[in-house]
Amino acid sequence: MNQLARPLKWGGGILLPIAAIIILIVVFSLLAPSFFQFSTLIGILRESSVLLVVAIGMTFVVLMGSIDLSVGATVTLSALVAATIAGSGNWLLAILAGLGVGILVGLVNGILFAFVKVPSFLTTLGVSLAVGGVGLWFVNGRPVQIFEQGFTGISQGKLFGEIPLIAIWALILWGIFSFVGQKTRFGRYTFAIGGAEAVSGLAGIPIKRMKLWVMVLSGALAAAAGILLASRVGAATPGMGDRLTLDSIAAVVMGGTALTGGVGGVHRTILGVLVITTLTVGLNTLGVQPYLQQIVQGTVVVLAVALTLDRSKLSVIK
Amino acid sequence: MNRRVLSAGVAGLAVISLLGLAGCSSGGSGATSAPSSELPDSVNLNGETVVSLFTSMNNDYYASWAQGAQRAVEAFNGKYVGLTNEGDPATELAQFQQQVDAGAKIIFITAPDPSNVPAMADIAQQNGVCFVNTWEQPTWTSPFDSGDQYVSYLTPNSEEVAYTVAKALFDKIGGSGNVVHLTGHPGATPDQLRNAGFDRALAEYPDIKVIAEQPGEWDRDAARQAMAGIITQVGVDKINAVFGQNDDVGIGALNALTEAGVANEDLPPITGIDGNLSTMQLIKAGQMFGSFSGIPQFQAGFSFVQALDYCKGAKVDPLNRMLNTGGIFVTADNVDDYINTYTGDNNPYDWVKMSRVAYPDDWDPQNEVNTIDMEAMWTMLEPKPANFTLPQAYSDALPNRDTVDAEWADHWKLLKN
Repeated sequence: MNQLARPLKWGGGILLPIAAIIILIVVFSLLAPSFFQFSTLIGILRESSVLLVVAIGMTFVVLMGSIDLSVGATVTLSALVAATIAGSGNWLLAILAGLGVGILVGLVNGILFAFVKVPSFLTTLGVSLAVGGVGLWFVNGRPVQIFEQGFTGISQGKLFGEIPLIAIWALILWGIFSFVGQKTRFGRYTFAIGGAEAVSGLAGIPIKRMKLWVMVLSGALAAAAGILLASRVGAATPGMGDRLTLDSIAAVVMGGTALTGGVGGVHRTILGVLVITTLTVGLNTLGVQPYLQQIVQGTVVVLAVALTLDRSKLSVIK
Repeated sequence: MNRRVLSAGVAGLAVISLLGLAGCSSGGSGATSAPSSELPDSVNLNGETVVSLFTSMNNDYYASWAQGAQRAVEAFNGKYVGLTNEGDPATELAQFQQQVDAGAKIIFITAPDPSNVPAMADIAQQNGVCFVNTWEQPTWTSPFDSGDQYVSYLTPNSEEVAYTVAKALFDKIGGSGNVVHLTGHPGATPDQLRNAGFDRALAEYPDIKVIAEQPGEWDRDAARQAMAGIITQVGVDKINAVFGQNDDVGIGALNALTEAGVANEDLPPITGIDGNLSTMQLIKAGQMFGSFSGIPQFQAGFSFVQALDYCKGAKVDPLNRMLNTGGIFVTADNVDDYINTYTGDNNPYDWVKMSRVAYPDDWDPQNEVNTIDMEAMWTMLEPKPANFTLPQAYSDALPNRDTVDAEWADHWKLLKN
């Protein structure tokens, strides 16, 4: 089984994403001296956090050779449910309810994908539309303001006076799931399925169960991201998670995980997240016009993927 | 390895080139300058960066907002930075924090909905940023809740505006008939207030019947789809008038009616609110009845000047921390005047003259401005919470409301007619 699909080692294939981040930092610092300061680093950490949490779950799905297009809608619905319950004053119940929403969405995705055998693209696309509609119906299309400080403190609090708590939570989750991806049977099974699903099945890997649990994990992490986001903004709004679907896919791919599966890992996803966030923060610091920001971001995404993709591991480019 | 290093170098050069282009382009070029009062040193920004955050450039209203914002900032010798959030409050909050981190001290915004306003106000308060917000504010809250750095909340009197437009529309069809009401984005402050104004007008016209009400989401295409559904549901012949909650919604309704085969001369009267140039052209062509313009160029520039004045040491009367700004109801009778004065390259404002710090004796708001009765406004949207009390400073100043309003009216000279 170890020969089916080995995850990348820590030292290999990560130098180019790191180089991309360094180039961006240098260029932005030269163009805007105010960029190179401690508060910018804090800002990048803070703005990366929600995307990183979503991208962790997406990484496991992509490693299997699948996709989850419902993460954005799950982020939104979890945030709306958590924010609504936080209004009762019970922030712990709000968190549990939000997570419950994500797990439920993941279960639906997993059952449809693994047992009803609807391709993941179609499953999660349909679920995304439905979940988005549920969110709008739940709050009648209106934002939900959060005044419960126990809930907002989850993201808005700081450690040692400077480090945003939201970044701490994201890094903890990244650390845990990097370990899971690299050192546990669950992680190795994910790689194996992505590398060669049929052979993995013959080797005794429980394919259906794995697909189900990976989708549940993706949903749960999307829900966690929704809770962090609502806590950060101090409100939940319909559609607030929409942009995270494509951003998380971009981050995963830029970090070096192949869309075809079997190559990459959660430990690399943080690099893709940092490229995207550093670019966004830098362009905003420069005050670049909105239209031009999209051109630059699209160009950098393509360049970053072109440079970081390990083609030796891919027999087919699609 | 050499090939990879070379590839990385090429990529780096490409990024640098693009960013260099971006650096050259940031801020953009201003329109033709209008005559302006002399700029005193007391308000000269000397190239300081001023930031405006707003929803999107895909909307004609915000294109005018951006135009006014840039003109006003550059009139004070500032460097204008405008960023859009495409309707995402979290993105706007992130941009706000990033601009504060980059050293911006004056930020004026309009938000996609009220949700992120308190968080931005808190960041402003913690960092000494002069912050003014237009349009969105959570109900039963005010700038007083966040601290002095949240200088002012500005909005047209959306309830009164919608009431005025609706009455004009109902009068246009003789006081009786079927009306379609396409609203905006549910939950947005102006949407709720405009609904209240529409309903107030409706109550005065017992022979007017609302045959359909759907959200238009402030968006032309969403409104077109909603209207198409209504046309299918009730039939185009049953529709005597359309109230669009903003210009794009009104135009979306027009598009749907045109697609349904309604000829120009048979179109029911359609109204909007915003005052976009494209709407003005449709009014001139007889395809729309009217639109209330809050003059977005003015709204942007005026909100900037309020923030600037506070940063330059002006004391802000408590009642001036919540203000209604005026506008113009445009129909075929006055559309040419409006287009020739307020749209395109026309820059009718003396921005420097708006500043109380620059011209303490003869500053000029150049538009109607009134203080807001906080309780009256919020009561239109939601019942007063049991634990709500008016901010002490606001409550103490309330007996002076007429005096403060009179001051605004007395100082208004330019563009009064």
